[in-house]
Amino acid sequence: MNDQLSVSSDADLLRAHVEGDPDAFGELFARHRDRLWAVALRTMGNREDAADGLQDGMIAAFRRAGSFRGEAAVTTWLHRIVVNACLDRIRAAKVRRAEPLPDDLEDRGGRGSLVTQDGTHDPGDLSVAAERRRRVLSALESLPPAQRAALVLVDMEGYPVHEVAAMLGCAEGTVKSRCFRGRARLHELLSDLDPTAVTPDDGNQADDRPVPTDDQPRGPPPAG
Amino acid sequence: MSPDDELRESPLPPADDERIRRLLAEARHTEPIPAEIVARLDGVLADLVADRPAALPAPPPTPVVDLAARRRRTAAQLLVAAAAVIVAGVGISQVLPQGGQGDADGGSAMSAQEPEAADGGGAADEGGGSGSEDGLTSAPGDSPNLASPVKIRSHRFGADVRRLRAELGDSSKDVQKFYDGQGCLTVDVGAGEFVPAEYDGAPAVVVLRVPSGDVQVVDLYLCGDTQARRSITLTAP
Repeated sequence: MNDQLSVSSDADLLRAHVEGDPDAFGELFARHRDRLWAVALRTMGNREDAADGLQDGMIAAFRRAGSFRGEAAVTTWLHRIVVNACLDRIRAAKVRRAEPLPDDLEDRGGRGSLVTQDGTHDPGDLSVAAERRRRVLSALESLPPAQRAALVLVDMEGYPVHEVAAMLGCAEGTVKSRCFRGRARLHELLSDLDPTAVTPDDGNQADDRPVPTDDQPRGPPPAG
Repeated sequence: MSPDDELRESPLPPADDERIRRLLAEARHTEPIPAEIVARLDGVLADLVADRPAALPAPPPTPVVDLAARRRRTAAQLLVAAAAVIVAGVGISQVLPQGGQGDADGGSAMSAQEPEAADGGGAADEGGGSGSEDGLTSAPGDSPNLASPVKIRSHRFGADVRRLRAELGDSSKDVQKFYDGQGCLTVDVGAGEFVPAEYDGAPAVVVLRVPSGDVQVVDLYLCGDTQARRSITLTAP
């Protein structure tokens, strides 16, 4: 049975789940679990909340499988449910605590660590990369949740805008607009991460532009 | 410009836009989901599968007791009983000579007996079913017994919380009236309906938040903790 499930399409697995197959949903969710986890983690900002959001999404998907109409890919549908579960959690937390973003953003940015020190990389390089990532994640966490979700799906996970629109349940223009705004805000927050701004020791940047000239453009040769 | 206005093009120069996109791509999470979270999700999934009716196309009637319906039936029986008392009282007052006070006493005595009769009938109808089979401690009556904390198990957190919420039903307002977490919670954890509980044997409080849209968040705090130990988002009732 499991061998059969492992070669089934996502849609087949979802259908089998709706028809009562006790193993189908587990197989389906396991296929997409890692990527859904990455989205939940980047949307929520820390492991604990991401785990809760992913769990909420999994439960919702399990229960609402019968409502899947096949208008989008199953993975798009799963992403939509998980992202919505995460955004619901963020909204609920805001409502019940009505407090600003946590003070331990810097600590939180390091959770769910992205860097595994395996001794094969220069510790200095790893440190710089980890610091840059921490800054990016911290800045990302300061964005409104809707902008954050759009950037996570488009720029981090690389989904096309039209698919993200389906995941977020909004128009493509809205996704683009959220990305534009989010990137503009990140640009303000991360301006010092610009290589030209943080590595003055590397010397002047090569300038490939043609050397300008003060000479007047040549006209046609004089007649005669 | 309002935050809701749609931008048709990036306000950033293309190079800056690309730089931010590159930074975001570099910060992508690429590692697999941690094993402990996989184990947790697998446990929840196993609960979901176990709670599911065996045959979806034609689900058999479940033995789960619909306590909300039972409450409604009990209320209806009480109303009928009260109406009967009034009718009887009016009838007696017309048959007997002017007794005044004695008539009222007779009516009160009858009405005081009716709830027991109604309850007894209700219990017989339900065949003794209760939520205790899932580990939730329930009073024999319709609402959770506040003197006996609801048992919540870590490995069946979702199922136990859902069952608790179903049991609370309309009576949750009464629960809030009687209990606000005092003696257990040491910080303000926000608004909600508070229910004393035991989480794997440890004293705790379940807080059912006000539904937001079509979802409702339920948090569980261990007594003395300032952060929720467990949390789940349910479809709003």
